[in-house]
Amino acid sequence: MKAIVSTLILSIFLVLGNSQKSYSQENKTQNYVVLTKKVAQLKPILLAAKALAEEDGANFGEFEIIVCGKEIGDLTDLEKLQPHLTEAEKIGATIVACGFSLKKFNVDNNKLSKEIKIVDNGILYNFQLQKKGYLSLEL
Amino acid sequence: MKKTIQIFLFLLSFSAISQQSSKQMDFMVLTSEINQLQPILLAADELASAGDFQIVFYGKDVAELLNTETEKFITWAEKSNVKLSVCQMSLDALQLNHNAIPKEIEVVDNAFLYALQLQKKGYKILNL
Repeated sequence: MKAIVSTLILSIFLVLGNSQKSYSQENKTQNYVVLTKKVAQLKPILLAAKALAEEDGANFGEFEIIVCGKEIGDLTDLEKLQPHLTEAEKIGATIVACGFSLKKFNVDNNKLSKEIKIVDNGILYNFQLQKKGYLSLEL
Repeated sequence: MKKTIQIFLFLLSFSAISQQSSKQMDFMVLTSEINQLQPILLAADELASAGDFQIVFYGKDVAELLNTETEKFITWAEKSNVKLSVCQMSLDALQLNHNAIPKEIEVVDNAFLYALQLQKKGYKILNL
């Protein structure tokens, strides 16, 4: 009898623990990373970021947009980029440039806006963020 | 009394097991190339499970959805319970009228947003 009662108590704890776990998962901060090769895609990506920020509310964490590839030079067109940078700042999103691509396509880092973060390798950075649990989309 | 507790324990363990095994797999493929529809549908048929399978089109080639060759794939998708969608922003960029898109294909506002939202729900995502 004693054994049954203790088993019962144990299973109740297990079930409670299980439901608590799923509860905490629902409430955790949601981070995102989007890797793109086209600067023109910044607009729909930022619109997606904005919608997710509204959807997630207080749980909205980081939203990082990594730009890599041969069109990376487009990031130096400050006039075209400014509206995106302003929008990103409003949402709390970060635009990240791949250092490897900048070097390969001879783009001067100093020509980039200061708001743009530079990482050594965009692909590596994407995987590192995914390892941390970021939801990822590669375009 | 003893019997009641035993039955209760049995039911409790059963519910815990069913909670684990009912975890179904959902898939979503995001693609800008309509000609990839065939291999994607073959993959969908192969994976055929209780879960969802969705294909979302975006980009400059979405106009190809209007081709008559696409019709057979739409029928195929319907048979295989695969949901097809197209990005509204792409349609707008190409100045394509929504009404021209076959009725079986749903229009979503923003393909990238849709992909991240489904990923949040636990879908496995593949972007081609």
